[in-house]
Amino acid sequence: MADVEKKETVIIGAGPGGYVAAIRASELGQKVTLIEKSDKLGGVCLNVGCVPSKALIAAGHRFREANDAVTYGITTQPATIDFKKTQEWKQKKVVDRMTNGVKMLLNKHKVDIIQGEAVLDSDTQLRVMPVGPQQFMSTNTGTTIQFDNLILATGSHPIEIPGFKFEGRVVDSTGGLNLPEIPKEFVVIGGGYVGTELAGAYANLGAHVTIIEGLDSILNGFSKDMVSVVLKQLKKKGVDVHTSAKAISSSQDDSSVTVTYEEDGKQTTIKADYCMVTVGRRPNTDDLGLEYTKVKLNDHGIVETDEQGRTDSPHIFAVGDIASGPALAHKAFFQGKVAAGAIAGKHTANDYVGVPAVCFSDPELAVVGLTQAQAKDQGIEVATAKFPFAGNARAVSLDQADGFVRLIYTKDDQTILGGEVVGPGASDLVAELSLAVNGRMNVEDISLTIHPHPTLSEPVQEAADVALGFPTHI
Amino acid sequence: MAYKFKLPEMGEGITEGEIASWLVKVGDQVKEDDPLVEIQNDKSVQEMPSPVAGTVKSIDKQEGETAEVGDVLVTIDDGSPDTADEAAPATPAKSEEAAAAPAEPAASAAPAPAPAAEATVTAPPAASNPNAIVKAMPSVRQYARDKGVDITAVPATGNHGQVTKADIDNFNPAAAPAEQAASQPAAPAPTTQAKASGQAIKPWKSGQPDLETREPMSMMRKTIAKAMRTSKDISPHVTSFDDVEVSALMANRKKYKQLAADQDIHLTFLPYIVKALVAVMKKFPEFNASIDDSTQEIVYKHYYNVGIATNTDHGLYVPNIKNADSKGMFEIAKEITENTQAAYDNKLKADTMQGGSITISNVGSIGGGWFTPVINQPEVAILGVGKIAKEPFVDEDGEIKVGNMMKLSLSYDHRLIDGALAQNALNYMNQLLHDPAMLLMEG
Repeated sequence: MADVEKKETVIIGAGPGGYVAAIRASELGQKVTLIEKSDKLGGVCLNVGCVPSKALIAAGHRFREANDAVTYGITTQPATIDFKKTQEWKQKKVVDRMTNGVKMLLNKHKVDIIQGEAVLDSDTQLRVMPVGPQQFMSTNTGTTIQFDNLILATGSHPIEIPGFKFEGRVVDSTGGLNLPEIPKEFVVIGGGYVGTELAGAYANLGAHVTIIEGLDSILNGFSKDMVSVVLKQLKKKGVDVHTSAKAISSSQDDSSVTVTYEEDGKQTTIKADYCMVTVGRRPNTDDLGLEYTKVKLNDHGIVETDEQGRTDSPHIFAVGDIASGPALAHKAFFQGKVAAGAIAGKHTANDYVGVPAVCFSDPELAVVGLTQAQAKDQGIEVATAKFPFAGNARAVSLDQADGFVRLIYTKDDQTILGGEVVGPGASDLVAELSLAVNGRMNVEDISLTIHPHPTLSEPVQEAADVALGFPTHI
Repeated sequence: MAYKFKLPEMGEGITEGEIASWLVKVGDQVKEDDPLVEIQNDKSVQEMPSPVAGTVKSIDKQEGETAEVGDVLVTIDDGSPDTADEAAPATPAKSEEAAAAPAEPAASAAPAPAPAAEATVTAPPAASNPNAIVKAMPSVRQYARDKGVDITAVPATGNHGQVTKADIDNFNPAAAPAEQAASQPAAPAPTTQAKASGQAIKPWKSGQPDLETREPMSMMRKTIAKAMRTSKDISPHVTSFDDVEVSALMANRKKYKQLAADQDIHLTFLPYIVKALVAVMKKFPEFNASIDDSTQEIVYKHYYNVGIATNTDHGLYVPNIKNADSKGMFEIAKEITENTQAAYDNKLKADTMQGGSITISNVGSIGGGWFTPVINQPEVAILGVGKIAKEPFVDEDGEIKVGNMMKLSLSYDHRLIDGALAQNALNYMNQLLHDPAMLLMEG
């Protein structure tokens, strides 16, 4: 039996939930040990998720603009792209830079980083197993660690569907981000955030893209009139969108993959270079040894916690994709800080009113708080006010005047409960709406706040003016 | 098939109760309005009648267990069909969003936009009652948690109904129920608040647990502990002491004791003190008042309900004599006896203990002297009555005599009552008890 090491605060997983919890715990005076099974820090988000996808999307925009500037009186020779260089830029200048930054921050906060796979033995003890192929009959049973407090931040993994095993030319989102070439034909199964973002990026890079979505709309969950703005742009790029369509099977050879799907009772096949399946993620809670603890999971494998992220085992916390709430990095950041604070005896709580959600489609979509329908379901009487980017000088001058800002607010006292943006800069504009929602501000507060001109932020103020019945530019 | 009887709302701020005793058992036939169960809540016992007729199928909470409002207490087979919401227990918000987060196979891609997820933590009140949306900046919500204040109970004074930090500072949990009763019938549970606000409660352990035993605090003990702590938190207490020569009072009592006994009335000193306090409150209305912190108002009461702290083996109760100003001495004596008996029998009704003006705490009967009684919120004063002892005193003529000296301890809320005012009131009290004939004039 190996020696038992005693540790104060241990965190499993160095993704957004885990590394932020580690930094905060250290700032609050705890001695922190961070266990990560990968040799890279930052989790899915930094390595194979939000961040690299933004890089590909940016490259796609540059490429399209280079070839599509006639409107502005610019004619060019058709631009060409060396995708290897694009990928190299994405990896070295973006991903590595960000993950190294995380490493530097953790070092600065004296967080002890252990590489290995953690498995719980009990409510107070875990083992860290070396990662990689294990020698048969190895005597290495790992290092045993006793902890005062533990934060689980193990994240999630892509769901595989029958007939589409992730191998060769059938890839998950990670594979989709790291394609060695720009496909001529690209099939995306699942038109949610990730699917739609990468479909748009590869379409901008020159691929012909087909989206196959099981529900009756892509970007399910966003309001229909927001989605239709994105659909219009996808159509312009020649993306085929099949909704209420079921992916049936795939077969592949050395140079292609053939995807069969069913729509309106009819089966169709597409021969493509790659097929990416992005139909959801499942929490990584199966192989953690939670059965040896008091930690409880719900039917979806999500850890049950209280307001502070504390599980039924009082010294074990859960944050991020394995905890309640949407599987989004910024929610994980917040929960990580709350859990670290709770361990330090602070009165923290996950009492956020709204979590913003962003899709980097063309144009971007962003929401926070309640939609009109959700408010109605909760029995709250709401009204909405909308202002189009067509009435905004900055959007027009960018030649991106599609879309709108919508405020959802209570009928009786105009408290802002939700905000929706589809259009240029939506991902940044939603921050103001998130402040309004979380601060329980009302439309007058926004209306009486001067927004700079000419900027994309003005439609937020104008939507508030619409709500008050005194719009200017509409 | 079955009617599930849930613990109903029992009054302002009361959110849980202990099952005192079951009046039915499994298999019993009950008629509508038949008493089912006795529930002990904050200091009173209430009998719960059956809303339906039928057969008792199961008892879902046992005697001694604590039930929260909405908990199923008993299942009665009344022949009605099961309703859908009874059959499927409400799914907590958590699992709903979990269903939304990892998307169904071949459905939308990950992560499904689930803007509904924010409902998790703060929304439950909003979900049930749109008016209960708490309008406060995140920093104010944090501040409330740090202070252990349930922000949903705090009256807002900021722009457009925003709760401000100052509102949190000014919040008086004891004053709140009255405020809430008007605006928000379903006041949040004080105990649940404590749980939800995550107050850091430090465990206490000694080095020698084997020499100690631990037992859970009873509902009553918890209630008393909370009431005492709250009172000391809210009111800066000052206690003034005095002793008064009560030979005349004793003589008066002796004289009428038999007359009272003939009418089955036990005449103690308490009715005299009740009457004297009424006179004090009439002359000094600050003693018959409460402070509403939420509005920064002094509430003067035009009724005279004098509470009498009553100690029983199952807890401390303060029933009050309603409208003592319009009752005679014997009537008051009789009511005191009745209330005491009800307290002993655990039969005190909640309203007997509400709406008090001032309280008497009498330890004299068991030999106590001066002490520092704790104010019964939201009142602003309490009179501690000690024993009557034979002691030397100097009378009006400057002679040293052996007197019958009664010890008085008057605790008052220094926010409202200044020291001089309190002393004047105590002096007046002194006069009334020294010369009971004055009670006829002023009481």
